[in-house]
Parts: sequence; C-alpha cells; structure tokens
Amino acid sequence: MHMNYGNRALIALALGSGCATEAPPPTFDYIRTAILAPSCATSACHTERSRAEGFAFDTREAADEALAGLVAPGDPDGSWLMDVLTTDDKERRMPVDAPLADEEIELIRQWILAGAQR
Amino acid sequence: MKNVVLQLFVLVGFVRVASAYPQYQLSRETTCTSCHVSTGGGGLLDSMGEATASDINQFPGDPRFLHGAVDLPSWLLVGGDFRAATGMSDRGAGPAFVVFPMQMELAAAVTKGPVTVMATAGTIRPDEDKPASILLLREHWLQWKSESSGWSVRAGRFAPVYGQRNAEHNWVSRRYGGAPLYGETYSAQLAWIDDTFEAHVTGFVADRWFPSAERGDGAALYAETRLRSDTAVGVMARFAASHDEHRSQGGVVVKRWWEGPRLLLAAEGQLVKQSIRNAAVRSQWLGQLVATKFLSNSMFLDVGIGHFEPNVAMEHVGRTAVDVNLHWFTWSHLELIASARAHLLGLGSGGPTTGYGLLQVHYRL
Repeated sequence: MHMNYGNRALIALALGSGCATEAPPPTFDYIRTAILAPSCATSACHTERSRAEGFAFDTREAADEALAGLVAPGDPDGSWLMDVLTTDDKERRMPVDAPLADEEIELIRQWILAGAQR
Repeated sequence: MKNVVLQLFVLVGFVRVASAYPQYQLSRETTCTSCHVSTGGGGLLDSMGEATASDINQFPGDPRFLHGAVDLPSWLLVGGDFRAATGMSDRGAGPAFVVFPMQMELAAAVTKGPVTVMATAGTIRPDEDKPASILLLREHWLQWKSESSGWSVRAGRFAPVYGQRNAEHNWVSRRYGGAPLYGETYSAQLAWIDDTFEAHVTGFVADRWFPSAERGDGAALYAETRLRSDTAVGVMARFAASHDEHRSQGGVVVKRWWEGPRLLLAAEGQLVKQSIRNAAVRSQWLGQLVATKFLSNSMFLDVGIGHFEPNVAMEHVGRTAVDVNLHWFTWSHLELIASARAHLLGLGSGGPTTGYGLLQVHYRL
C-alpha cells in the first residue's frame, strides 16, 4: 500500500520503539475492533447498554449477532450495513457524527464479498 | 413526528459530560482541584469553584446550588448539569436541522475532614427493551485528600486521569486519545498535587456490570509540571487490555499562557499501538492544538485543530477536525456555547467532508 513520507517516518519511529504495523486484513475481528467499535459503539449508540435500533458492536458476541442481520454474505450491495454507511438519506446515514473513510468502507465491502465470515 | 423523535435519540450520540476548563488553570495560576471536588478535576464545583463561577458571569447572580435558595450544610455539596443543543449537522448526506438533549445529571458529595464520598446520577440513551437502563450512575467514589500535603487517594468508578480532561468536544484527543466520553472504569488512583507539579497514577478494571466505553483493564499515568507560572508541560502513558485488544499509548501536553493578549495555547501529541486479537497490530498517532482567547472576563473563544491517524499503514483514513467554540458565561449558572466543526477524511481525499454548527445551552444547577 502506498504511504506518504510522514507516515513512513512514523512507522520508522514505531518500529524503532518495538511496535510493528501491518496492512489491515478484511476480517471480522479487525473490522469490528478497528472500525465499527470506535465509530459506532460510542457512548449512547450501538453499545450493549443502549442497543440503538437493537444493534451493538462493542463486544464480539454482540457484533456477531448484529451483523448476522445486517450483512448478506457475498452481496455487499444487498447488505443493510453498506446501505447505511453510504446512503444519501440524511436521516439514515451512519455513523451519526462523522462518516467512515472510503478505504474503511471498502474493507468492509471486501469482507462481505468474501462471505462475511465471523 | 417519528422522524423527529428518531433524530433526537440518534443525536444523543453528541452527548458530553460536564468536565472542566483548563483555560482557568494557568490564567488564574491555580490547579484543577482548586475549583473541583475531584482531584482529577472536572465535575462538581467546590466553594472556590462557585466563587470563580460567580466572578466570570456576565451578569450577577448567586453561584450556589439552586441560586442559594437552599442552604446546604457545610459538609454537603449538590449540583447538576443540563445541556441541550440545536443547529445544523451534516454527517455525509447533506445538512439537516437537529435538536437534542446532551446531558442530564445530578451530583452530590459528602465531605468529613479529608474524606469525600461523591456520586452522580443521570440519564443515558436506554435500551428500548429495558427502560430502566436510562439511569446511569456514571461516577461514584471515595476520596481521601491530605489537608497538610499534596497526597490524595481515590477509589471507585471514575475515568482514569489522562490527557487534558477539558470540556471542549475535542473529539480527536478524547475519543481516540484515551479519554473517551463515558469511559469510566472501576479505578484506584494515587495522586500528588501542589502549585507547580501534579502526578496521577491510576489502576483500573472495566465495569463488568454496566460496561462503559472503556472495555479494558490497565493503568494510566499523567504528570504535569509548571516550568514557569505561565507554562506547563505534561507527560502521559496508558495501557489497557481487553479480550479483543491491547492498547499502549503515550504522549506529551504543553500549555503556554500569555497574560497580555489573554491567550492560551495547548498542544497534545500521542503515539498509540493497538494489537487486535486474531487480526493485526496497528500504529496510530494523534495531535491536537487549541488556542483560547479570552475576549472578556465572561467570554472566551477557542479554535482547535486535531488529527488522528488510525492506521499508519493505510492512506486517506486520517481524521482531521477543526473546531471553533465561543463560550459565554451569562447569568449565574447559565452558559451559552456556539460551536462549529469541520471534519475531513484523508485531508479531503478520503471521504466526504462533514461538520456541524450548533448552539448549546448549559445550565449548572
């Protein structure tokens, strides 16, 4: 993956400090922990406590249950998760405070296309 | 009607809790604990805090609980915070009008000698199938603060002391910087605070019964020293481990106050390493710079820019937030805040640019 010089310098710093960094895998564990949890499982939304719209992403078990109803394995365009992440409908677009980056949405698409294994 | 109600509940995602204004730390040559009951700063005001609140109000008024209508005994402090906001918000599909509650919370503290017991009770978005889940006992702790030295010990449910701990919706430094909203844990804290130096060491475990935004167990350190009366430098380190991830992070905070122009600059930078179970290790970094200008005794304007790189191995996923907030402390207990934010992904090339413009009303009980 192409990286700019700034991020290369930071990787060098991170590696020098003993920290590795890897390109993200389109897997359930990465998508749930790195993308859905910090963006969607915020204080009053899709947590096990609040369960906005009945969905939670702050634990593996809750996310597994939620995604079973939100994704159509192998069919990103037919998955409700992809719809709410990309819709032009002001009231349905998610997350509520700031959108996901295009590359993060693409990672989710790749995961769904590959069968959305959990 | 349903859509309006849905919008209200959806945008409870903007909630924030009463925190603190570090802007008063260097400008008034004081410490956070001079105005707040908690040694971590923020939250319920003590008598000095109420006096400061009275001093900064544009129009006169009694700063005490219920405007002084009820005389509380000296060992009891009671307060509360109510916030609501309205304005326009664009989350990627165009601007929309929004109006929503942000915080409804009561707090009480009982003090006898060096010991204080404090608790809050408020509301949070409930699980629609469990209406009782609307009630949140966000903080409850016991604190011992030496009356002859800077030592203090605190134990209970509260957010580990880490970072700048300010009330501004510094989205980058709070959500991604280790001090998330509603990130309370069961914690034990040892601290030293004097006029020129403070250090807070906190060990914590996640709340297994009513989980918060922090799911891991770990420890946090924050230490800050006054190089001069107008300059402070802090260092911090934090580690948290949960079933799903390990996160190590650390950074620095620098604050500088200029008395002439009444200007404060506060900067923060952190490096983060996150190990995700069965997945990947990713390195992150974040930085934030906030400039606060006191326009009068009762009004200050702050402009901030923050950037977060969630994964240095990916391009165009960095988040940049530019925030402008105008605070006006009007009558006693009432604060008006005009806020605006622009949010960019990948510096404009990673997704839609979004933002909001809001007017917030904050009433302190």
